Amino acid sequence: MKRAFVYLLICIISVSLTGCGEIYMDKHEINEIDLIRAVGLDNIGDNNIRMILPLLETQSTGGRGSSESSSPGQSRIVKEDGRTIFEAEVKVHSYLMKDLSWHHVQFVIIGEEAAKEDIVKYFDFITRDHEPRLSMLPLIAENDSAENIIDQINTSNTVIAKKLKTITDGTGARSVSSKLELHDLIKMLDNKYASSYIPSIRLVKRIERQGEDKDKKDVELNGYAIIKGRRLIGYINDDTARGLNFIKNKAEDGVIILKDKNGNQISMEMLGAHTDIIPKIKDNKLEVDIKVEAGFAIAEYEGYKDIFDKKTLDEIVKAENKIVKQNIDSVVNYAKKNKADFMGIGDSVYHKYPVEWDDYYKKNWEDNFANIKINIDVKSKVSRTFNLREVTRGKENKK
Amino acid sequence: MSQKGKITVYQAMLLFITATYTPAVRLISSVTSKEAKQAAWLTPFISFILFIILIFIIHSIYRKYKDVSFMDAIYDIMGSFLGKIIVFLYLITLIILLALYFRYFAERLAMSIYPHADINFFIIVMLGVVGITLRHGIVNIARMNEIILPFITVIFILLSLLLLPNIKIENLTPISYKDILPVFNASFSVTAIWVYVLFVFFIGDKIKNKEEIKSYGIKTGVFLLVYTVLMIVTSVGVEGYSIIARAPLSYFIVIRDVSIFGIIERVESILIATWLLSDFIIISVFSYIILELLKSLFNFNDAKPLVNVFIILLYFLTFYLAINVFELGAYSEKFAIPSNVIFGLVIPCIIWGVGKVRRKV
Repeated sequence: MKRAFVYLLICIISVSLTGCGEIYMDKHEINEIDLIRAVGLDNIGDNNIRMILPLLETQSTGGRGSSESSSPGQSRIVKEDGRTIFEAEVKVHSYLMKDLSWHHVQFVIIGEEAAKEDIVKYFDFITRDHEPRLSMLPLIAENDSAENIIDQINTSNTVIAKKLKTITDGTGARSVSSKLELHDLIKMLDNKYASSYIPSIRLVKRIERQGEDKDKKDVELNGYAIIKGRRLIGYINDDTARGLNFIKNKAEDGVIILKDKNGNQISMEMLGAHTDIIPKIKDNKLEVDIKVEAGFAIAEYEGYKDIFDKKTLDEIVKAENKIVKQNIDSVVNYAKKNKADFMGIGDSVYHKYPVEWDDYYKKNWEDNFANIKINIDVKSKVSRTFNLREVTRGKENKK
Repeated sequence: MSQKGKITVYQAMLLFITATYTPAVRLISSVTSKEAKQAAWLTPFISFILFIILIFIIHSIYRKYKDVSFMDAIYDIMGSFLGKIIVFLYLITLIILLALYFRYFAERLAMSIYPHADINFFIIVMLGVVGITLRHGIVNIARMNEIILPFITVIFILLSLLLLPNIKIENLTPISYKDILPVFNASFSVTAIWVYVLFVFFIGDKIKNKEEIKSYGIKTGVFLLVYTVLMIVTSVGVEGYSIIARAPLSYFIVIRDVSIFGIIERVESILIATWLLSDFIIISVFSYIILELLKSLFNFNDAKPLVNVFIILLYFLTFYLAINVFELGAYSEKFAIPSNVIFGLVIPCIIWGVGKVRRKV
């Protein structure tokens, strides 16, 4: 009887505890939560920051800069200023009708001024708080503020996080950018001998729109922001950014345009590349070999000649090698000029020669890096073309 | 002697393994990477050697003292007066350790998922559950653990498999002779947890077939070696030592980034379930051992009447132990690790050495 009473009591207590809001303060019903998928952070001067939150709901909140009306599917932008990010976040809590959830943040956009001031400062809350994950993707607003980028891409039928996901998923297509997760960035920032790179986004006008979205712009990933120490020092774009992707084994796809003897253009589609960074010590001097192997396919040819003979293919390979080498040379020169080892050369030396690195090279690495000899060796190949081999009416043109 | 109310060496080892899981999840990856950096995954190999030495010592002592507790063995080897002092010191160490685990159990929940919750709530619930469990004795705890440990193991293996594709070898290399000293120093934190095996054998009078300590001990050591190396490899291999060394809940932040085919996320909730079960086992086992120590030290016939008073005192001690989680962390690293090594490895070695000299072992 006594035992039955105890079990009954436990059951009653267990059932009643499910609504125990006073003790269990972190309980939130799903309809009481605003899921943050992307966040923008800007430096607005006077040691203040601005937090921009695109939230997926059509509802007026009355915040400092919140949109009063928005169409279904359009993000509602909430903007708040504060001395710190956390202060801004708490302010948002005070007027937002729902609780903010940082668990599902996928993107954090840092404005250029913030990145120039001190990038580490802007990541502290995101990495310290218990809700956000370290797998989110950081982005830098190139020559722009995070606020403007978010405002511009917030069109009537665009969900900002979805738009950002689409462009980051498609980074491989041009190989001038890549996905970089926050924990990889933190590792780079933690390494006092290395500099860091963060994918940068910029506004461009690509799509003609009508109505209220007429003046809205598009966003594209076109390279990397380079961080030395804790501050932004510049950007690398296009071919230079592709050079970094080759070095970091992130070059997946992309187009290289060559010309045949008659000046007809050939579009080469990259099928993948692999790079080895091989440090070597020769006569007590450190050298680094960057060896690249890349595969290409002929995707388009404007001319009419048969370019599939060995001689022409060899010429194409030579031209490919030259272009890839130029891409890599470009990023190496940028890095050396700025004494910023964001390519991971120091890390390669450390992994191959840990003792020598510790005893000698890591001291004064910035200067050592700027003077190091870097040999670039590119071996590419043309693997294939696709549906049709010879050009249409090619034989007739030959005559 | 009656075998009723006793557990087997196998069950004792299972209890020990479950008890090590909760401090391992919290502490090992973080503390070892702070000292040994990318070479942290090598630290369990040194701890394994020390663990095997400890197993041989326990085996050697219990070969002579078959049906008594470790406390009775200490009294006989060291003499009654010195023995009582040593047992008293063990009692103090274990009470502080228990309070530490109680506080960590609550703080960890607050740090990871319930930042605004009152930790009183978690502590009172756990105290209640442990209080009820203690009345049913070690056999019930051991049987319950035979269900809990396989569950924890399966979950741990599954989580490790999900993390394997994210491991980057460059986060775990290079290894050179310069890593020997840091690895050796870092191994103390692993050893400090593995020496809990001695504490489990304090209740040797409740454990049967002790002639199998060596055999099961070696198997346990191999199991611990594999799972600890796997835990460090997955943590440091995925996030890098610089992040793991700074994370108070290192394994937890690694698991948070697990995504199954990009569809299922937030699998950390299952990790929390496993560490709660492990917390329950370590708190129950340590409480039981402390009650047995009290019984032995003050010559009580039964420890059950002490349960209520003990639980209430423990509640207050849990809060007085540290003001905040930073003090708790500092206490854990600067006091608990060295004291565990001293009480779990050094003193048993001395007792065994004295026993050899006095031809008692």
